[in-house]
Amino acid sequence: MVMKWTMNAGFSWLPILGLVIGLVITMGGGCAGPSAEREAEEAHALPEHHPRTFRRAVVDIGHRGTVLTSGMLDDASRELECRQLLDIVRWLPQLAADTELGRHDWERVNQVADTLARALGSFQAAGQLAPDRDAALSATLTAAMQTLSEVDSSLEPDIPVEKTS
Amino acid sequence: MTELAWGAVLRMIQALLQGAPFIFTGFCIAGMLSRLMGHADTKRLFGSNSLSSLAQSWLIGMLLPGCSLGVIPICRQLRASGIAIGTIFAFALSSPLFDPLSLLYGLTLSKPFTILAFACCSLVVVTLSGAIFDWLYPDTEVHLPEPPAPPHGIKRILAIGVEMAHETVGRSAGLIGIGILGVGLLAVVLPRGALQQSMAHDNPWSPLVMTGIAIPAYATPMTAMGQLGSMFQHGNSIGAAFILLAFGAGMNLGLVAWMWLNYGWRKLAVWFGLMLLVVVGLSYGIERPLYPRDIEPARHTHAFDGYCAPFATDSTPAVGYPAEIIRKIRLETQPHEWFGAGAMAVLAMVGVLLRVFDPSRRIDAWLVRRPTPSSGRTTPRYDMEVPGPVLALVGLAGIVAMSVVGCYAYYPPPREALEELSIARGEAASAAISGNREHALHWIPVCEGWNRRLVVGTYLRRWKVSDYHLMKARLMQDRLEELEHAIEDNDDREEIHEHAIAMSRAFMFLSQAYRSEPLE
Repeated sequence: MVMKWTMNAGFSWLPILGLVIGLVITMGGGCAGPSAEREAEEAHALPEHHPRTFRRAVVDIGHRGTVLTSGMLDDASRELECRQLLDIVRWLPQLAADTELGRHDWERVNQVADTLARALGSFQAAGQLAPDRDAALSATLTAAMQTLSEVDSSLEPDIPVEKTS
Repeated sequence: MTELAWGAVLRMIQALLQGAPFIFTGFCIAGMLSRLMGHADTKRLFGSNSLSSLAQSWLIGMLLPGCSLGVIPICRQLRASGIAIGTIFAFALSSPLFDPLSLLYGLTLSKPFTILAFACCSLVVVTLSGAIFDWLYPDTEVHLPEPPAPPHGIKRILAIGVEMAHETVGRSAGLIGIGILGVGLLAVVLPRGALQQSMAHDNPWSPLVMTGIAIPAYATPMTAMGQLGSMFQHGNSIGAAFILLAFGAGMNLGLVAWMWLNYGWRKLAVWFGLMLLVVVGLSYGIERPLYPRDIEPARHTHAFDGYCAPFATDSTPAVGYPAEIIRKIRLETQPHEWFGAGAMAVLAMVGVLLRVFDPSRRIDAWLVRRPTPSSGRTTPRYDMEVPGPVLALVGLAGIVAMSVVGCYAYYPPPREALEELSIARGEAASAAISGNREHALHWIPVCEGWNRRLVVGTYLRRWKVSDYHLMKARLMQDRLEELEHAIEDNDDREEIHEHAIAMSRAFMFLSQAYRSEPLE
């Protein structure tokens, strides 16, 4: 009875399902051919400014922080430098986790990263050259670098790895 | 074409095995409601045709473990009890979304607030769509004759078993089969790896694409929660993640077919339209506020590979498709899934035997026949007659309690999880280094599973996991994924070797973090 009534109603969900699946294939990438593989490889690649180690990240933050607060950059370079520095600061807790640091030291790094990220966020939001902001960021960076250097010095020195050909 | 057909077979078997424990639980609950609770008390428990009934059903659904296939027999029983469709779907949609196991898993993801927000959104979905539907169609309560209740004693318990066996080979089984077919259909339509770049946060189509996949797809609450975790970690679309939970875990083609068969096309279309409107609308609404800002978005994920074709078109397994399917099933199926499948097989066997040898249901008639009261017979003082609904409530509470106990078994203490992870890590690393691609690709997801269980097991016993431990686990997960990608992309041996070493190193740090702060 129900079947008869519903058929008379003339509605079919099959075209909708077909449409949805069609949409999926079209929008969802559909093909996993060579271009998809290439895209996948690109997706895995880390950005160029991603430091390989925690130690490298600490050096980069010090260097980039000095450049950023020097007042010598034009707007575009300042924006780029600030964005890349913020990226490095956000990666810092994970890079620190990839070391022998104990919980206490890691939490210090995490705290510093959080403070720096907030300071850089406000710095970025300012949008134009503001000397007092440069000074505030510079002070935050100095305090952060002191903690990071202390933590870094507690780690074993790097041992150069000789590559075998 | 051959690989597509065999791929669909593999995906359907995998779905059936993953769902077996939940489907079995669904049959148990339906059996208890039918033979112990009765129509009137079931309707009182769930309510019907009111706003409070929607919230009641949502809450019951949240407490009881289930999946979208397992709710099918329960939905049939709720309908037979004269409950309105809005209320039935409030239960049907909420039960598969969360259970104690998956909720715990979700709360240990990077943003537990998001999971709580998803739970609240699911309440909004069932309340809004259910209330509008019940307002549009206030006459969806049916009045079916109720079979006589079995007398107290062993016959009541037997009656539940017989009811379950009948349903296992009855209409519920057919509807579950339709749900499983949806999984096969997706595996035929979606080429291998087709969804690896499709759920980006900045892609406005992501929630819609996910809607298309999630409706025919089937995911157990744990699978959906694992995929959600992966989506958060990869910075994918939050709206798509919500749709995956609402439709991927909450719905399947079997439920759609059940609605069509019982209520017709028009009501199905209206209800479906309402659901799409509310769920898709909500998903776009939460996309920005809930998106994690501290995540580096990756444009590549393997989280949805399980919905696509499993076999490549350009290569055939060396051992042939059937042997490869058996190998994969043996490797991937977990003990509780084998147990669920075994229980379902026994029920199905009994159901078939009853159909063949007792087509006129004489056993059912015998089970409801009341013994003639014998005068002068005294009953022991403590042999009280417990009303059926009380037994049913105790049974339902028992299922909830068992699922909580199951959490402790499934998420063992950190020491045990670390030992298991250590074994799996060794297998994955040595296979990767020695070039045994298939073996490594099997063990990497095992490592990922134990890594998650380690975190959830800690949370379960401490009710908190420090950021330090979470970060160590996240590092391990990232290293596992990098190794997996390197193997899948056929990177050179030296690169794979480096990734394997990095993964082992991450495990060492994770292990150190836990050993420096032992729980016991």
